[in-house]
Amino acid sequence: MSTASAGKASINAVSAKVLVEATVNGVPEAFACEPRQTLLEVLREQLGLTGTKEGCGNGNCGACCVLLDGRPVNSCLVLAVEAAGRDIVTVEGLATDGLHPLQQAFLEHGALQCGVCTPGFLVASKALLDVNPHPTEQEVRRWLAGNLCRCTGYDKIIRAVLDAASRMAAETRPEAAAGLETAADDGEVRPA
Amino acid sequence: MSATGKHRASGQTYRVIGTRPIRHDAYDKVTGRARFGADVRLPGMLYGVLVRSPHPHARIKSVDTRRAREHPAVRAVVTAADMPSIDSEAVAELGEGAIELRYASEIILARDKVVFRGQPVAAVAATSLQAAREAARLIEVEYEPLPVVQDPVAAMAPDAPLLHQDLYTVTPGGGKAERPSNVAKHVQYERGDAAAGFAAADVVIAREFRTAMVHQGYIEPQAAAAAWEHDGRLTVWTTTQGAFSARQQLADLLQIPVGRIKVIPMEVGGGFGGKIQVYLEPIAALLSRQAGRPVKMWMTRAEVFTGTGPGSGTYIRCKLGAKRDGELVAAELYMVYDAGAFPGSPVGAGAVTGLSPYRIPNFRVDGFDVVTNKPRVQSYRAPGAPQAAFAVETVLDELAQALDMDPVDLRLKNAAVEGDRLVYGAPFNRIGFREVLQAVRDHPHYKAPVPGGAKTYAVGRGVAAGFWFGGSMTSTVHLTFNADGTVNLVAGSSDLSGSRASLAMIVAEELGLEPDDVKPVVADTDTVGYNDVTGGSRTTYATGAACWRACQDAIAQLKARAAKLLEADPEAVAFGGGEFWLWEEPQYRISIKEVAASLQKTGGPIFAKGIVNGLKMAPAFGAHIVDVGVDLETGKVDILRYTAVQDAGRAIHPASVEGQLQGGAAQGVGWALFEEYVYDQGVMRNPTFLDYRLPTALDLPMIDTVIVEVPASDGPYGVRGVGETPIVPPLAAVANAIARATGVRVRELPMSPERVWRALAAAGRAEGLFASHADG
Amino acid sequence: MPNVWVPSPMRDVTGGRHTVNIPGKTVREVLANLLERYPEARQRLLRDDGSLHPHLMLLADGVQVDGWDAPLEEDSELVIAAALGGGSVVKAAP
Repeated sequence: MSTASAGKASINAVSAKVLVEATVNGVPEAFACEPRQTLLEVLREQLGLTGTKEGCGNGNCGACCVLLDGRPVNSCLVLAVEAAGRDIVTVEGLATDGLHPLQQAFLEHGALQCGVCTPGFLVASKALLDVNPHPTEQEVRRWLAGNLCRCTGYDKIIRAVLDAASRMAAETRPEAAAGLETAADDGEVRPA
Repeated sequence: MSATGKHRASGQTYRVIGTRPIRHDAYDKVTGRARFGADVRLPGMLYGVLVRSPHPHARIKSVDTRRAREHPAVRAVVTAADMPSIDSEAVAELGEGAIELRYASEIILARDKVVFRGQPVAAVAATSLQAAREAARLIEVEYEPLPVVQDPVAAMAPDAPLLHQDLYTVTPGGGKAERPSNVAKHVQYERGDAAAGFAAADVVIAREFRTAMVHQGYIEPQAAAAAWEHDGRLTVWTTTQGAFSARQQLADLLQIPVGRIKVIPMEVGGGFGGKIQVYLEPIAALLSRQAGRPVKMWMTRAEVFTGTGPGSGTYIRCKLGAKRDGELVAAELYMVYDAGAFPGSPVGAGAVTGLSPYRIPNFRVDGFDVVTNKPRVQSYRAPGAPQAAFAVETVLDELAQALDMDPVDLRLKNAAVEGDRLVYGAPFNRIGFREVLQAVRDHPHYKAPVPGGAKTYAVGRGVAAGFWFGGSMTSTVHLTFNADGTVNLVAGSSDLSGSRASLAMIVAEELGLEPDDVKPVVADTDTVGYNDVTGGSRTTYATGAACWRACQDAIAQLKARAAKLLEADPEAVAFGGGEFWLWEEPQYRISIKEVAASLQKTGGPIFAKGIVNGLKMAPAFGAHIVDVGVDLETGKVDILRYTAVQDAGRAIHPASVEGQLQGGAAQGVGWALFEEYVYDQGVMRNPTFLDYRLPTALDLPMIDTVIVEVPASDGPYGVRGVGETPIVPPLAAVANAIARATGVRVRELPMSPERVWRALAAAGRAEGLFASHADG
Repeated sequence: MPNVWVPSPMRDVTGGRHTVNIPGKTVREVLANLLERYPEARQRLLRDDGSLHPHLMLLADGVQVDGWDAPLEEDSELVIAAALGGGSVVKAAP
């Protein structure tokens, strides 16, 4: 895939636009952006994917979390040109065949209030369950420590993530699910 | 996994009330479809950016916008010269509101002088955000810096730099001080004879407290878009706790009729009191008028910290006197609340909430509203109350220790009941303070032994209580019926945390429908009748009551239609459980859905309305239990276990009530341990979420909840608003737990590791290598 | 007749009393009768144009009243108190 013209010497001004091609939520997209624009700004203001939120703009709140080649990143800290040729998943891409189990668990546990941090929590939680399908409570808390929520006190969010993990395990390995809730809380994060 | 928390149900059972349906707004919020303030996209939309003062106090000598106007992408530039000036006659007509209006205008765009760092002085709109930022840097402002005062106690000194030459203290009697000062107001409440009360007390404890200025910390920054049409109509999309309040402020500030303005409320990404005052809306409107195109603006996080309204920092002295058996006999509070750059701290509410939970025959409360060179404060969840409770509930804990009493028993002995009077004189109607305290005493958390510590790790348990008034104000809702029996619930109360679901559940309960049959919307100001802001824990209470009334209106109208269908007189028709039937012949019945399907045949559509314009207060009391661990080597405090108990009157949607309790407790823990505006010569040094630290998932345990239900005196089902109260007890609860763990009292917030460690070291309680270097 | 609670700083006007019984069937009547009995209270309660001082609020039987024609019963209680105010430019919710 083309990496657009991000490195070309012809760019002599930060406002000169470059063409970027990337896969967004499974669909090939091409967009023109300025090299100084963040991925967050382009997702929201150009591609209309406003589900990804800006809470702080400097990587401290996690509201703008998206998956970049499967890894969670704060899209406010990624330049849009860096996304060239890569695979981006936003909250809008989580529900494929019906809601993702995390989305369903957030609904059922009431794991949201105002909802503005919710997309970031969902995407970050998906990244967690992708690498660690059976997290302990402490592992969930540590993984999500980069996502700020001001409304819930995190209680219902943590429960929802643990519940979603349990459901997903039950779908893939029914016998594995039963032991989950009593899994030892060793406070360690499994390596990604 | 089972839900957290206990739910102490009382009396009557309901079909929908008290259940936990999936919230109506939740699907859009988990899929990214919900549209918040900054999610507006309009054809031809421009981006607006503000130029803010780098000085906390300075005269504006000149503003040169020429170079910005020459930028090719710029379409509009505004300064205070483009804002209508609020003339003095208008001030005289509108009273205090108008005086504050003048201040509000200054907060939005400074005219001749800046009084806090971050105060806007100009704005630009350009075809892209990046270009707008570029152009904003081309605006040249010349300032003449003035002396700065940042501490409210220092600001009270006679020789302190004056922020406003025309600010004279409003005295308790309503008079005015002779000389201008930084003290905007002195409130005073008195009952009995405090001096005699203290003389008769067996134990008297007097202490000093300080709390830092803190921010609501909503994750969504302020955002607004405006389109000023050529015919003079102004449409504003904004994230606001009150669309009608925003509309009125816009009308007053821009001096245009409210009828010309339509405010479209977007989803609100957290408010907690901070999204009532308009900031960006008038500027976006002015830019749009000049450019002839819609303009969208949103704040950076640093702008949110320095340019919106935080919660007051305070200095409080609290003195309590008790008899040997624990009976409180006298109290004194001296409270200084930092208002920021313009008058209006919540010192009045602090002065009333501090002592009102307890029967105290003799007291005196003096409160001062003081201006400093910081952003003008706004409401923050139970505005004024947490700071006051921090002082009073800490001294109560010390009293309990001095009297060798259980701290819950001491509170129970003095707790106010129905008929006892608040500090300002009005009596409490039915309240559940005693029931809450009993629930604390009976809770397994409170009964469990305090976990053991270690040589370098002390563990302790604290409790504290608090309340909020539970306001009413004005709410309007409409109901219309669809042919399939579903109901449109048109409300005008911004939904901050799930109130749409609670309101829909009330309608479903009354009409015998399922929650999903009711479609709640938060309508714009052209579509629904007037509604006051969502704030003060009033929405489920007052807008809920409006829903209940609308249902009674609907049922009366539907009865007449059912009567036609049943070929009977309306008086002969009964209603219940979603069905109409004949009193005399109950076998003749028809469901509400069937009646709705036949509306066109029986006389046309039905429109039902519910209006509430003042209910009695429905105060909600809460008490929290917390176990903390204190690292004696570092001063770091861990929250080990937390239980929040609160009277909800009647929990409409218990999961939402639990969420309010948990979220309020978490905010209170942040206030207690982490959060603080760090100021240096009027400059905030920590305007990021990295340095202004909100609690993370890693800082908190699961938060257990107990919902006590003592029905309120007014409104349907006995429901009480619950949002404010949970932030009131945590500050003192955590401080009391630290004191019980270590024997050391920390009376200044936040109780950061450094501050706790220094207090430990000063008391000889610190451990580790540097323990003997307390002042190092 | 309705019982009126006066704010602490006004007690010098009422001879040190917290409460006074004042006849009247509406808030307006009670206030008028109160001012007739205690003329010095006028400048504490009202502005020159006759409206309530903005630093005060009125609660009739526990409900904050905006309109002075709100009815009062024989056993009603009218509390005149310092407005809680603050926090925002709009009428803040207590």
